[in-house]
Amino acid sequence: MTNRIEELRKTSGMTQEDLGRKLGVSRQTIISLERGRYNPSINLAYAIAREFGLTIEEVFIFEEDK
Amino acid sequence: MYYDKRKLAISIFETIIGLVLIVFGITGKIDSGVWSAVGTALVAVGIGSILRFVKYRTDENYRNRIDTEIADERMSHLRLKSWGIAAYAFIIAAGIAAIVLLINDMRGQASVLGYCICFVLIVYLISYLILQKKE
Repeated sequence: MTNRIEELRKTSGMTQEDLGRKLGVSRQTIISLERGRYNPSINLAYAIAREFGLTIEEVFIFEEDK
Repeated sequence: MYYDKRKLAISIFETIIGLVLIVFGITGKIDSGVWSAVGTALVAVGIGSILRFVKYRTDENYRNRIDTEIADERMSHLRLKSWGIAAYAFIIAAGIAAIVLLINDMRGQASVLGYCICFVLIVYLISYLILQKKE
């Protein structure tokens, strides 16, 4: 699953640390999320989407396995 | 709050037990080699925990960092995954060690390792059955 977290974060003018602090997660988690190495829980995905004022589907792009 | 008074009490208890083992080792009441080493390790771990407790209580940035890491879902996921890998590694290593001990006709030690493997597997089975019903 890919996401637009990095793009949205930079557009909002936030650092990874700022975003982590707002979501209650570490900067390392933000890095892993942006690189697609970690898929968040539904609660965290919802919190991320709400932080950017978007829906989950607008932030996370689910790709079918080929 | 991660570092609470209960954790401080446990750290102090670890340190005291370590000091007791060191003293007993020095005075010859117990085998000085092994138990003094265990006592030294307990003292080191206990003092380290006490120092971390003091830093947690006095340093706001450190406290926020620790609280965030404890609550962080990815860190929880990594901790659980690491424990799973450790359990697999323990069972494989203990199994190999038990076979080597049996080959060398050390049946008592091999049996102890066998019981440890059985204990881990039973705890896993019981945990799975309980969690299956609860979650």
